[in-house]
Amino acid sequence: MPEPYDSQTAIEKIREILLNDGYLKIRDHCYVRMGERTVDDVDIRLVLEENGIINSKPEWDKKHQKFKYKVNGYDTDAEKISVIVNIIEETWRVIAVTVIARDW
Amino acid sequence: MTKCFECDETCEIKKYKAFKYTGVSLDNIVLANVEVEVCRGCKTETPLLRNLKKLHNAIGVAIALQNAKLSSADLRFLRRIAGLKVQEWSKRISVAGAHYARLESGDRKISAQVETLARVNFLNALKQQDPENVQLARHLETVLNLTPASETDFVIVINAENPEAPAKYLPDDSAILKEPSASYVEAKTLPFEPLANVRIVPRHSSIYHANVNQELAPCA
Ligand SMILES: [Zn+2]
Repeated sequence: MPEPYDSQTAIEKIREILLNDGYLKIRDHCYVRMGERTVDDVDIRLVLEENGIINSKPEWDKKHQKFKYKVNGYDTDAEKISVIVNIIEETWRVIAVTVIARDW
Repeated sequence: MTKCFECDETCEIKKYKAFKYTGVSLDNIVLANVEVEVCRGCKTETPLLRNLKKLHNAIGVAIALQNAKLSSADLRFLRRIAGLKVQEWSKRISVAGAHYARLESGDRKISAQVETLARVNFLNALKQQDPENVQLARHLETVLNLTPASETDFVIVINAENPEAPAKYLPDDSAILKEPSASYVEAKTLPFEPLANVRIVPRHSSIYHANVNQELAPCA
């Protein structure tokens, strides 16, 4: 298992990627959850690029061999949401895995 | 190679001429020249999005400039991209908060005055973020001279490679939808003149998922 980023480095890395021509990939499963919670890409962008913070340790996803970071923030209507992401620095990508509402 | 999250097969990246973008709670947005990750197994297609703020602002500008009435979803989108909560936004467009909620939910009709104020306030909000942008000042003039047509179905096409390029407005012609072979039809008369270069494309035609079979790179 590789070493995870600490919380501050992880959020900085997410922004470094997304604000420098990196890709955001939103998983199909994530879109299903987003639909249930009336969250869309505008909210996801706001949390990941602007108002989100990470204040928990990442979880290791054994199946996909990646760390999952939980980014807590506010959507465009100031509701609390969390976006769970993988950070893939090698391909300059952030993958939104799922979204959780009012969990923090 | 990237493995598909859904079925564990490998994926490849393809560049699509047009891809229906359903990620922003609007049902008429199409992205042109967008990279899409396609699973070889379950065929799941996931767009790889870049510069999302630019892209969303561009969709907002295209909505503000559309020569057709705003839908409730359009109104909500403009507010959210302007970065305003209901309370502040409704004040700016001179609507009481409770009444405004019914406009966004589609329970009440949006008046011509509210439409214009929404378009203008949206563009002003972008101008505040980017005061040097001369294009926005021009857009404000355009908006003030619009006479939006009502009840017109169309799609907005944004070039994902260059979101700031003028959007295209393609009328959604239900007659053409019944002819699957007619994926492109040259437009003769269109209500959306200000931003030209328009072609009619049926909303659900294969063009939205027509890839150019250009494999860019394995998505390692
Ligand atoms: Zn798959």
